[in-house]
Amino acid sequence: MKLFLRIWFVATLAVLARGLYVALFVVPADADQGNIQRIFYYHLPSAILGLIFPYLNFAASVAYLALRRGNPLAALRADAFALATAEITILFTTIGLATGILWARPVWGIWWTWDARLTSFLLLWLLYVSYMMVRRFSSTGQTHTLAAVLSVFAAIDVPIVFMSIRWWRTQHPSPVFGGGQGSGLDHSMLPAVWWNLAAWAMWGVFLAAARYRLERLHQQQQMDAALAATEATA
Amino acid sequence: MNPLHLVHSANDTAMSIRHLWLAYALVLTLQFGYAAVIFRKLCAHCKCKCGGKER
Repeated sequence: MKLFLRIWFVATLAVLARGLYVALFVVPADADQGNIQRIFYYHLPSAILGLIFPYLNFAASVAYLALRRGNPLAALRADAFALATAEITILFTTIGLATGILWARPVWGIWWTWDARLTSFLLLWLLYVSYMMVRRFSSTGQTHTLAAVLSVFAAIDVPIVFMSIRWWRTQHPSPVFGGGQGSGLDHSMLPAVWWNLAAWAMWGVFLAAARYRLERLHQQQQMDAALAATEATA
Repeated sequence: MNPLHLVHSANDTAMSIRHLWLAYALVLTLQFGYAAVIFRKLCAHCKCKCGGKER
């Protein structure tokens, strides 16, 4: 497993480097926007992954809720995966928001506007920040269950974010992919999209695996400590 | 001087170039910074298991 992770890490770095090079130096600058459009090659993968990881978190949370009484050890694994994917959701949504803001100022002339896409995406970020805060500060003994329930509600925002630029007229640009006639990028720009999408997806998987491993070690440590305390009192 | 001399565009402004570099730097810093924190904690766990001794 360690060897596989190392190979995956090296491959990811290579794809990331290629993606960076293609985005900055290979594909042409946008005819209207100039080079500022190159932010898109980091913004789009982050936004897409910021909408995929919440579903992994949702699946893990549902698994935790289903297994927590019948199979607590499997539930703990699901909970560790839920935590890993929640943190990575925050990472990607933070980057999606920040890169969008940095692009908006020179192009729109404003940093932010309360349109449906931006607001629903900010809401998604806030939901996962609250998820992490529940996990960090709740002391009810039901923290994991509370967090899992919150995750189920947070997942409802994901399709709203995705559909917001289709349902409503927004300041945010209309869909680049799957937006119907007239949408899409020039073919000469596509390599930067695919390289960076692949690179950040591989990076996300790598981070999720590492964070999951860390949480499992933490859980093991807690179980060992609890066992030692029980043996000491017996 | 345009730092993106290889791909200069007539529509670039000083702000757009500055924001472009800022965005790329921010993304890489956040991603690699987060990874560094995770791996530092993983290494700390390994050292705990070995009683704090170098392996």
